Amino acid sequence: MSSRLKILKGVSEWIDVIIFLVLLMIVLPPIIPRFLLSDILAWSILVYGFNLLYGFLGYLSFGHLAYFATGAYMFACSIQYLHIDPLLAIVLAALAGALAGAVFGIATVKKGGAYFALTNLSISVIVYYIVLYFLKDYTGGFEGRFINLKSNVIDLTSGEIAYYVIVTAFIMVFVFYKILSRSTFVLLLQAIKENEDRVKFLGYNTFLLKYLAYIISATISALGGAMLVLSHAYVSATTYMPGYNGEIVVMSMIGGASTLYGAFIGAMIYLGLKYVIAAYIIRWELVVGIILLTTMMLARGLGIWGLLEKTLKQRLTILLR
Amino acid sequence: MVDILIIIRQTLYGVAIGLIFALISLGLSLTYGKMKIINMAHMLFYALGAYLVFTTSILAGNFWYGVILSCIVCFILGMLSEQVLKYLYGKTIEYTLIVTYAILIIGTDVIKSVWGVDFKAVAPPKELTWFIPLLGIEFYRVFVIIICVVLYLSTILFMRYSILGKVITAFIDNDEHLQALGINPRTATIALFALGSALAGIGGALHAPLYAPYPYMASDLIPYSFATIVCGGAGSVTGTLLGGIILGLAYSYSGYIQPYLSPIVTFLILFITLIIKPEGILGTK
Repeated sequence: MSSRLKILKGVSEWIDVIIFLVLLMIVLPPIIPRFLLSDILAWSILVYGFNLLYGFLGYLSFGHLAYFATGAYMFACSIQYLHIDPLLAIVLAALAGALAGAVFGIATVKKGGAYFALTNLSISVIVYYIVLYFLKDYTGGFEGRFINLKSNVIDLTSGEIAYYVIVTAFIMVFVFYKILSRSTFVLLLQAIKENEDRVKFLGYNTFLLKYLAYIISATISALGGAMLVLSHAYVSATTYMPGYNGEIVVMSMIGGASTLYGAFIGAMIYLGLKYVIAAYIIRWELVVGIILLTTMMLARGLGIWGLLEKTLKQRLTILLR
Repeated sequence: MVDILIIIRQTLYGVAIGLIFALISLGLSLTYGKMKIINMAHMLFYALGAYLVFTTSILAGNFWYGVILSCIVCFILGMLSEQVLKYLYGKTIEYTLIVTYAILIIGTDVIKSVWGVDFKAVAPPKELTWFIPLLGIEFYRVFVIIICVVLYLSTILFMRYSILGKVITAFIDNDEHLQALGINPRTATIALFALGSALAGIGGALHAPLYAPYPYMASDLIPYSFATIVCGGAGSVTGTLLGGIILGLAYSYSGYIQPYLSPIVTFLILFITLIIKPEGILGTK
C-alpha cells in the first residue's frame, strides 16, 4: 500500500515533466510552427541558465549571449572542421561552455549588481568581436555558415528528428533545474542573495558556491546555443550581437526569474509575440516595449508566472482558512 | 617623422571620440552614481540630438541651428523624463535596468517611424571641413575637441560656482542634509536630468558628422557609455572625463593597428579595471 502511495506521490511530483512532454510532443506542434517551437526551446534553455544566476543568486548577467555563442560555435565548428558526430558535438559544446564559464567566472562572480552585469557585458562584446573578425575564416562572420548535420546514429537533417533531440535536451535541462531548485546548493545561493556575510560566517566558501553556479549556468547556456544551431542548421554572428543581451533579461522577467516555469513561458511569450507581431506590423519593438513596461509595472518584477503563482497561493490560503 | 605624425593623428582621433563619450555619459554617470538608476533611455537623447542635426541641416541648411535645437529639445525632454523616472528611485538596480530598456526600445521604434531605418549622412559645417596640413586630419575633429573641453569645463564651473550647481553637488554628496536645509531634492534631480540630457543631445549632434545616424545608434553606444562611466568612476565628473579619454585613446590606437581590435581592447580595459578597482579609477566606495 505504502509503496503504491509513494509511486503516486512521485508521479504527482513529476507531473509537470509529463505535461511538458505531452505539450511539446502532441499538443503544440500542430498549433505552432516547428521552427518557432525549436527556437523557443533553445532560447528557454538559455534563459534557464540565466535564471539560475538571476533567480536564485540575484546576479543579473548582461552577457550570457557569450556562452550561447560559445556553445553554438563549438557545435558548428566541431561538426564542420573536425567531422564529429553531431550528438557528440552537443556534449562538446556544453563542455566548451563549462570551460569558458570556469575561465571567466574567476573574475566575474566576485561581486554582484552592476559589477557582475558589466563584466559579463564586456565578455559578451569580446567574444562577439573575436567570433566576428578574428575567427571569421572559421565562423563565417555575418554571412554565417550552413552546417551539415549528417550523423551516423540518427538523421538530424530532417527537421522533425532534430526537433525531438531539442525537446529531449530541454526536458533534461528542466528536470536538472527542478532537482537543483530543491537542493541545499540552491538554498545556499538564495541565502547568499539575502546576506552573503552570514553565509560566510556559517563556514561556507561563498566564492566557490557562486563560481560553481556560474559554471553550471554557462554550461546550460552553451547547450542552448548548440540547440539553436541544431534547429536552424545555420550559424551567423548576427544572433549574438551584444545588444541582444537585453532580450534574455526581457524573457526572464516576463516569465518570472525565480519561478520554475518562468523561463519557458517568458521565451514563448516573447518570441511568439515577436514572430506574430512582426508578421503584421513592422514596428514590433514598440509593442514589445509596451508589453514589457506593463508587465514590469503590474507584476513588479515577479513576472507573469510569478504573479499567477502568488495570486493562486493567496486564493488557496483564503479558501483553506 | 611619419610615425610621430601618425601618433599625433591617432591621439587627436582618440581624444575627440573620448570627449564625446564623456560628454554623452556625464548625465548617466551622475544619475547612476547617486540615484542607482541604470538609465538605458539616456542614450535616446544622444540619438535624438544626432537626428535633429540631420533634420535641421537639411531643412535650414545650417549645422549650428541643429546643435542649439538639439540642446534645447533634449533639455526639455530630460526634465520631462524625470517625471517618469522618479518612480524608479529606490528600486532595485535590475528593475530600473529593465524598465528603462523597455523605454529605450519604444523610443528606438519612434525614431524609426519618424526618420526611417536607413543610415543618414550629415555634412559637417563648411567652414570646418578643411584639412590640417601634414596631419591629414579634418579640422572638424579638432573643433569637436575644443567645444567638448569648453562644455565640460563650463559644466564643472557651473557645478562649483552657481547656486543650482551647488544644490546638485550637495545632492550628490548628501541628499538628506540637503533636505534638512529646506531645499527640495527634486529641484536637484530635475536639474541633473535636464543637464545630462542636454549634454547628451549636444554630444549626439557633434558626433553625427563623424558617424552616420541610424536608429540603433542609441543601443550601440550603451556598452561604450557604461565602459566610460565604470572605468572613470560612477558619480564623478572628472572621473567620467578621464574614463572617456582613456577609452577613446585605446579605441583609436588599437583601431590603427587593426580595425576590429578597438572594441575588444576597449572592453578588455573595462574588464581589467573592474577586476583591479571595481569602483572605477576615480570612484569612491
